[in-house]
Amino acid sequence: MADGTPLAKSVYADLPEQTLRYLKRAEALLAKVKPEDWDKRTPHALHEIRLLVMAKTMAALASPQPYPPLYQQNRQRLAKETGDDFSDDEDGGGDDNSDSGDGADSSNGSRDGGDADFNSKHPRWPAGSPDSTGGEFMPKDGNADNDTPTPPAYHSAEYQVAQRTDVATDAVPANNQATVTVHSRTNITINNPDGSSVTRTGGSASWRNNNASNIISGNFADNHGAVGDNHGFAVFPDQATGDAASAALLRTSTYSGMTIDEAIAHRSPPEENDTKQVQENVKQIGDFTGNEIVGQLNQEQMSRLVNAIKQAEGYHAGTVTQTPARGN
Amino acid sequence: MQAQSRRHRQEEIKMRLPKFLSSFAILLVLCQSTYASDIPYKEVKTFSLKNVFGTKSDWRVTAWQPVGNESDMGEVSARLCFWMQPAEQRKYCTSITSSLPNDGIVYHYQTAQGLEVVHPDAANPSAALLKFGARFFGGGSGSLDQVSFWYYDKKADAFEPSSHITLTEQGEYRLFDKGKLEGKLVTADAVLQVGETHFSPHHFYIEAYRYDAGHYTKILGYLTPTKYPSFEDTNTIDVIMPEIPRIEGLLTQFSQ
Repeated sequence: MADGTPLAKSVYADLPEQTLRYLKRAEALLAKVKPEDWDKRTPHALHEIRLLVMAKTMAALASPQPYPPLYQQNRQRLAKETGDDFSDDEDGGGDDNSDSGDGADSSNGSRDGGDADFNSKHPRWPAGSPDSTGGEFMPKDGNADNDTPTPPAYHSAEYQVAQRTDVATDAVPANNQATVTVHSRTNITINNPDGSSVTRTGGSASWRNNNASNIISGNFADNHGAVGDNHGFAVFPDQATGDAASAALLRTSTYSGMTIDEAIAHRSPPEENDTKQVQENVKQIGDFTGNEIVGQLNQEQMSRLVNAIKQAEGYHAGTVTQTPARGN
Repeated sequence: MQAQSRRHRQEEIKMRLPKFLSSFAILLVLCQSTYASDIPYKEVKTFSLKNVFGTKSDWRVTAWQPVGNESDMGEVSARLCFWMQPAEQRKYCTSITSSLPNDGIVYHYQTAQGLEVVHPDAANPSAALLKFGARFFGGGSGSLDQVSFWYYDKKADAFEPSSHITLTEQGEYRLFDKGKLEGKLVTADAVLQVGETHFSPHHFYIEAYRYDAGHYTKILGYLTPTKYPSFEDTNTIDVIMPEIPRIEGLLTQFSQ
């Protein structure tokens, strides 16, 4: 990658192969930027590309339509910011291996059915650059109103909750660029990339952290959309992402062959003196015997299991304070 | 004639069976050694044991932990290896695991949490134990820590496992080197009961161990009468210190 900063693990994890190809192409394009042309705008441009790819992935997962609203919205936004409408040869779903002589990665050879083509065109960078306090886009060409990007809907944590009701979905969230400020264990702020923020106070830890099953911080959480750490527990940008991570954990090869009892004993291991009350709680709440094989659960049963874990971990809401993005 | 032939074939099979089994065993060993050598490990800490334990041979110890996919949530354990020659640095090792009684789950403690020498007996400063901590994490809301103690057997000129404790993420332990609990190892771990959620306040099970000639022996165990806050309400588990008066009182009572 040109700026030497690897993509966040959460960006790469579990992405469909097709999306990875797009990301690699995007990075290959950025790698071609000459040092003298390199400036603070480039990371922002990469961020935009990531958002586009993510939006496309999310949209593809959510709808069979070729250009669902989310993608259209993001595409229009990017077109407005970059002056590039991405209209070249992308709609036909044809082969895109022409590479336009730009040296971008063409080794994959195949194509998924046609969408924005990062290989044939280098998007022009939007005016302005990220500032030093969290990547917020700051216009610098004197036309602040026009250059302040309109926050896309998928930057909003609440939007994610509304869009992703299926807890069994384990797609990587689009909002993985958010950051977290931990004021105290019981008071955190999730700072969205568009400058808006959500402060969550009180409630249970699982509610505050959007982490219903209290997943401990680590590689797994990072790879499934966690954006921060609150005293050892992962913080997810929204509840749906946390739920999806919880389901994704149970779908890993480690867990799929286990019974529910074994899975609970693995994800929250008991000490010898422990009464295994978590197991009992989950079975009672979810109406399971404990002998069901996790990998054989259907969608409804998996949702029930995730919900039972959520309740066994303890979940109650606190207070939400939303701060809109600057300029809104 | 047929019976003779059958007997002959049976004897032939009997003669061939050990050969087959030994071939199978060799294959199994080869597979295991290949598997072991294929697992990427990183060296966490190495130091000499000669001076602090007064060993006859030049014993050293190395803690290893898996890297890559196995470093977090994997089914590969951290390892503790005692060695003298560099070529043996990964040869004679103990993989850190545990399981519950009558339970099929084996916990592989993937992450090394610390390797150090402790002096458990203030009255005998030369007494020393090697302490190794390792953590199991399955990706969920809990984890297990195992702290194992290893003593030096002078007669055998070798290090042997002494004692170990296992604690959940809601546990804590302390080694006391002064006061009434001098030389004692005390542990506390949450006990979840009906109506409690994972990190709500819990009663804690307290255990106290006495150090004696290289080993820790359990001398006390009780459930705290009061509940202590867990991670819903606090950043750290702090149960042992408030329980000290009760621990001291019970130990005094039992020793009389």
